[in-house]
Amino acid sequence: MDRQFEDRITAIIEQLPRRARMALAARCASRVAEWLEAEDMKEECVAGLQEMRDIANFYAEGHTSVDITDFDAHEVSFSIVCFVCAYISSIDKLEKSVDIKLLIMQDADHLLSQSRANDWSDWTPVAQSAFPDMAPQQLELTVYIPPGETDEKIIDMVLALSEGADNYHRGRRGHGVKVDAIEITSDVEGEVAS
Amino acid sequence: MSDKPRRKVKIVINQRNRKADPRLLRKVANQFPEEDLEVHIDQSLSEESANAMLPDEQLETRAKGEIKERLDEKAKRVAEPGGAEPESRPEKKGLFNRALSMIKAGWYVTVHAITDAVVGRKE
Repeated sequence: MDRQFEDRITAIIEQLPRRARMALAARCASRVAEWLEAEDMKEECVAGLQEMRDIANFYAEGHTSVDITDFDAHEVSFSIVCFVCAYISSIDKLEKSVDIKLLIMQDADHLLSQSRANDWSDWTPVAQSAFPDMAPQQLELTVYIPPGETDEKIIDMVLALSEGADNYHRGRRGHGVKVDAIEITSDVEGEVAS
Repeated sequence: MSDKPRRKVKIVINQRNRKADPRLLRKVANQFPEEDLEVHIDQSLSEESANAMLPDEQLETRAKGEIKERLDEKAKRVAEPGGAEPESRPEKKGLFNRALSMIKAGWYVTVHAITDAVVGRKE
């Protein structure tokens, strides 16, 4: 388990009002579910997280139920966040990815700022719209090319990567991709690696 | 000793249809073998040496032109009546295997998935 990550996120959670904690739990569940889905993980894993997300959201937005007290819901949501954090840390691939932990930390920081700026109480409803858009809007591929490769080979490989991404996207029922920018840099003359 | 410099290429990819499910981009990103990247990134390409790299504008212009032509032609072909390519899932891990072969050849690829408001970067 990533102790540092757990400690940092716990410190933020403790400062959040109750419904905001539930909203963060829902957001965490959404992020991990999105990653699992992209990794083609079993549907039941994704569905489980989505269900937790929906429960957390339900209470975050201010709804109540005769079957469960608000206090109980708060505890459930807190458990969800801790579970999600522990789950993130335990999956090898996600553990090595700084992305998802960084994104969750940024979500938590963002929510804390919002709660302070808007003076949220424990009972202020918090919808997922309080967070910025979650999904990636673009990809940056950076290719490091060793010395000795010809321009033609570089062009071929870059084309192969771009077309590979396009084929993959279309094969998943997407409409394909486009390359919005290319930057190519090279060693300063006279400082060539051997 | 090689007389050709080291090069670095950065490609920014977006979906053609911005309203499409952005999780597809995540799926594309996940095709790259992450566990190899962190081990094999050329350590000599430190920030200092990376900042000393100069734009290779001629190659940049050529690459932009060729990629645009290829992908735009394909999009046009698919959009034409009767021109849609048969719907099929791509060869499993095709892009993964391509990236892996690049890594084995000494080319290293990093992938960053960028959101509009939140930036997640691999350290």
